[in-house]
Amino acid sequence: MLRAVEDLPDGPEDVRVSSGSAAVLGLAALRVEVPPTTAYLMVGERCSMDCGFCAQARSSTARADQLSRVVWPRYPLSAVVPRIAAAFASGAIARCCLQVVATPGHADRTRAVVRAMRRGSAVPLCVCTRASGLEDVGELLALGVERVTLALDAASEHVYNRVKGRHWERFSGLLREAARAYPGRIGTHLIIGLGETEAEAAAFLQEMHDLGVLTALFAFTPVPGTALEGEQPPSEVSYRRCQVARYLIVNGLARAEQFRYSAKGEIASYGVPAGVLEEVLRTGEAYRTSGCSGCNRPFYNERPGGPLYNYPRPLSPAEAEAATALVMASLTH
Amino acid sequence: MGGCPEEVRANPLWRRAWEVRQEHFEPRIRFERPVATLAVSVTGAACALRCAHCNGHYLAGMRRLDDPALDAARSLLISGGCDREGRVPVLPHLGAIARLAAGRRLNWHVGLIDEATMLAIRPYADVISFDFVGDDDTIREVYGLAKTVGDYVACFQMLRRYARVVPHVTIGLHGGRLRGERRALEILRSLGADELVLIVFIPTPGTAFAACEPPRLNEVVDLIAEARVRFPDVPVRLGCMRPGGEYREQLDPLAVEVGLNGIVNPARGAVRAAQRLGLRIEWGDECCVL
Repeated sequence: MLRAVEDLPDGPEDVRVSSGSAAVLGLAALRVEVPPTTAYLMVGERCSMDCGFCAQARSSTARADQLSRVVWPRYPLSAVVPRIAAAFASGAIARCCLQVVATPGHADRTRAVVRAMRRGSAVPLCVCTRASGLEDVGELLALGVERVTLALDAASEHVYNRVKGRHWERFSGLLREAARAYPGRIGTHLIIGLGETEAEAAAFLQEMHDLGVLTALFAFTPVPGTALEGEQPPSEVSYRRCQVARYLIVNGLARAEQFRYSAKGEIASYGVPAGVLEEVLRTGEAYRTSGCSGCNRPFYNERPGGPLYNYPRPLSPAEAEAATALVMASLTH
Repeated sequence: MGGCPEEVRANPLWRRAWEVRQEHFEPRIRFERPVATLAVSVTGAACALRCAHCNGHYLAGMRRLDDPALDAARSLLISGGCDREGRVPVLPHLGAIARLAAGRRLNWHVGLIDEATMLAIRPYADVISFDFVGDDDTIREVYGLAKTVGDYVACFQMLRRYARVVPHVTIGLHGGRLRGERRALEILRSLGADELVLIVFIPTPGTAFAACEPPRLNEVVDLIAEARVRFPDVPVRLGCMRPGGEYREQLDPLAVEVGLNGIVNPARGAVRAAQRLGLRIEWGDECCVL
């Protein structure tokens, strides 16, 4: 077992590895309830941004080795790469995901990690980063990154301003520009529960889908030490309605414009006959973790006690039925 | 290498491929005339993708699920047109397929299905034939799918957790040009694929690629030989989808001579080549992966 290098200074050749990934890679002896099918690495720590939900934010007092609910011990990159290659070969992981924290020099450091990974393995690689421009994105793709994710996190400008600070226009503009320049190679994240309405969330998911941007849903998680530590996560039913909205949109089964909403902006109807909707939702796939293929990020934003906002594994028929019943009962027509 | 023609002896890669075969396999080769397997399209001629190389052409020749001829088949290839996400919608037909599955072996060719679908078809899935693509541009430009190589990897790995999965790599899929084939082989090797079927792009009338040429013969044989060398102890076969006529007459004997383990509907020259090389020929009459 490799010792994490917490007690040493943060070296340029180190990466942080999510504790679940570290267990799958054989870096840490840890029992995990559901193993991650993607290896999650964090590059850098203590962000220069100040997002209210984030443990890595400038003013957050959460642990430096934390992102969302997860702890990320640090290991030498040279030890991590061969283990990722082996885990990919054995089928334990299907992807490697770099979470880049915006720190000075993060672009160079990310490229160095990508090059090392590309030399060591054919594993599909994606990078979630605060790119400063289209060139940053293009360079990563040229180095063999499959997808670059520019996480807007917020469904609308007012939510973005409240939670992430200014620059909505600059960053959402870059996302649109990148989507046009690199079709099929760009992704984004949407956090449900930051004060957006479901109508805003659905419109955002539709717009991103139309742009060819892959979307991944997260449930807001109040992390102690962050600005939003005192706020509530979304209700399960609201999150499920957003998952269903995303599932219908990305599978071309419905468009956000045909949804109907309550006065509070909650989804009241998807404009799809109930029988058809129930049939589509029967398998439970709509409630699985969304985003890149092979990404299940177990317990990233849920307590093991539930609710399981994003199922990291196939649902049992009973679980799928319960989730669908919750959604169906909340619709008005 | 006794018996091999000069052109194979003179090409170091081809010669090496034959040596690899001799080192790792018995002197046996399997030829298939798959008359006992019938291909079924669950969507009839319908397909949402209408890919540049097919445009639904090959669906038209398949049977419908209610075709009485299926009763006489020993095995079935369950296939069909795709939805916009590259999945063959099999779940609505599962009842009919389950009835046909009794006493028959089923080979599923169903694209990028999700895990819930895999769990549902698992009791009837003797084997899954999975088209593997190693180039993002080819996925987008030929299939018209907003998917990536990573999506193919993730699906392949997911399917393998539940069933025997045989990856198929189409040589020259991008209108006859070689694009992601080598990367596909590299990835499949690193994933430890334990079987491999190679097929070759066929220019097909009525498709966007109708006027394209099939990939150059030497490039195809190079790739087959590379696959042989890279997968030394893995059965590598030449599948049914490849150009016929003169092209096949030239390709098939070379495929034998660079050490493939099996060929579907081999040209006569392949049989002669196998005899000349001292390979014992076994004939089969089903899908080559069954």
